[in-house]
Amino acid sequence: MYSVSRVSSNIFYTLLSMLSMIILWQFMSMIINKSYLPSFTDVIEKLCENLLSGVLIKNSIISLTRILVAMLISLILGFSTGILIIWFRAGFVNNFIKMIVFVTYPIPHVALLPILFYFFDIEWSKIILILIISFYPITLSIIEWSSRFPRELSELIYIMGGNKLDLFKYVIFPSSLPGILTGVRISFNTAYAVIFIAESLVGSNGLGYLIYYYWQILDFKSMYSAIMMLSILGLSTYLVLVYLERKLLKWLY
Amino acid sequence: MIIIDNVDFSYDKKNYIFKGLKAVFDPYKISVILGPNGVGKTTLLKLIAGVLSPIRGEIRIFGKRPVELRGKIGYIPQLNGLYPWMRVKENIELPLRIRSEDPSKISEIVNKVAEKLSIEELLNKYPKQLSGGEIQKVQLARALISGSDLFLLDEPLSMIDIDYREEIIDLLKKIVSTNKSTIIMVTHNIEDVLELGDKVYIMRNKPAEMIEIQKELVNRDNLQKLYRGLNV
Repeated sequence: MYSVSRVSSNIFYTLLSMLSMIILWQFMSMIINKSYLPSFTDVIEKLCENLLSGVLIKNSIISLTRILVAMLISLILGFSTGILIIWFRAGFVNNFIKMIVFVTYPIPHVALLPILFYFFDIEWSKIILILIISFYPITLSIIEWSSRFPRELSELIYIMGGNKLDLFKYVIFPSSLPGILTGVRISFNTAYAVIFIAESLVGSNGLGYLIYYYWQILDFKSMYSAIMMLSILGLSTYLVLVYLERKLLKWLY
Repeated sequence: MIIIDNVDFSYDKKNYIFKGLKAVFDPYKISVILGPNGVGKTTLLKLIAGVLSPIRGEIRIFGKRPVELRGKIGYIPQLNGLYPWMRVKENIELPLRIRSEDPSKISEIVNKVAEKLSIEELLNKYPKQLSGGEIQKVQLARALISGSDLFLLDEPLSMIDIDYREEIIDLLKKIVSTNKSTIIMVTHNIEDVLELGDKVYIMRNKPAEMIEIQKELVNRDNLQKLYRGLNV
């Protein structure tokens, strides 16, 4: 079980590492003394200013909405694909879908962005890029997790008089839940990196665009404040997902 | 009576595990099948349980086909067959939930079985918190709760320590004597046969053959010889 002392020890080390990085940042900015590395305190001041003006909030909501819509669709697609592969343990359907997933996985999906612009409008091409990138960790993680449990657990459901619905309810879904949550966590991580690329390339809103824009006009303090905002969103999502994992997967911890 | 009549079985339709396998298991007894690993003991249990189907021949359990008895057979697999994401209580009550039993009754039945097997304090734990012996007791509770007349046990004593061994052996004997149940159990351990076998069978060769050992021939030396493929 996840003990209180372990939680407080984790919090202690997280705070300690953050504090060390802040000190190092402040120290480096004093030594380098260039506009492209403003001090931590200056960036925090700018962050507060941009938060109060609403510019960071507005663009955070835009970026977050794109990520959440992409993630939701990707979760539905990834879950369905994973379940199909598990359901048809062997045979044509299993091998066919698995091969499609494995063959298309190594493609550098970010490079598809220019092509997506031709097929969809600017807004949806960004969402679909995140969707494609998130799909793989979710699907692969579901397949990986559910294959960890012996076949006997499925057979037992039939011996107990169960049907395919019982198999899904009592075995397939709970055994793939850790895979879903791990996949979603990895996907969110990647999504925050991809949203920067997608928004900075095309469009006129979102945190990615904001970072690019401030960089172009050499407003480094604002640029850092937008990067910090994106990091705060990333960290918050990560913490929420870790909390959900601990809550829903008590049997693992 | 459980009848295995001329059963052929193969996983790949090339290498046959069984070809014309015949056996009869008596009711209300513990029948123990002894054989080396990989000979087909687990496959036979799965055929009787109805999760595998013979290519040829048939299996009759008290006159019925195995699929007709789904939900009425207590099966304990060789590996830990408890669902790791369910607490012990949820694992035990699973056959009743699948049968859509009245939820208010489920708790009562679970508590009764738990008391019988002295596992009340385990009910809120997860399987990973249990020892080998505790896992077997919980699996036994789950098999008992389905109200089975037939129990199929795959190496039930293999992963338990000495303290639990005697307890499980007593429980199995009690199930047969008081519940009027039938147990078919497979093992590769001669000690299990000597302690539990009312009827003893040897499974050997490929495709596997099964020989019933006469009661007067069941002793350690003979079983060792038969296990190694020799005759007595």
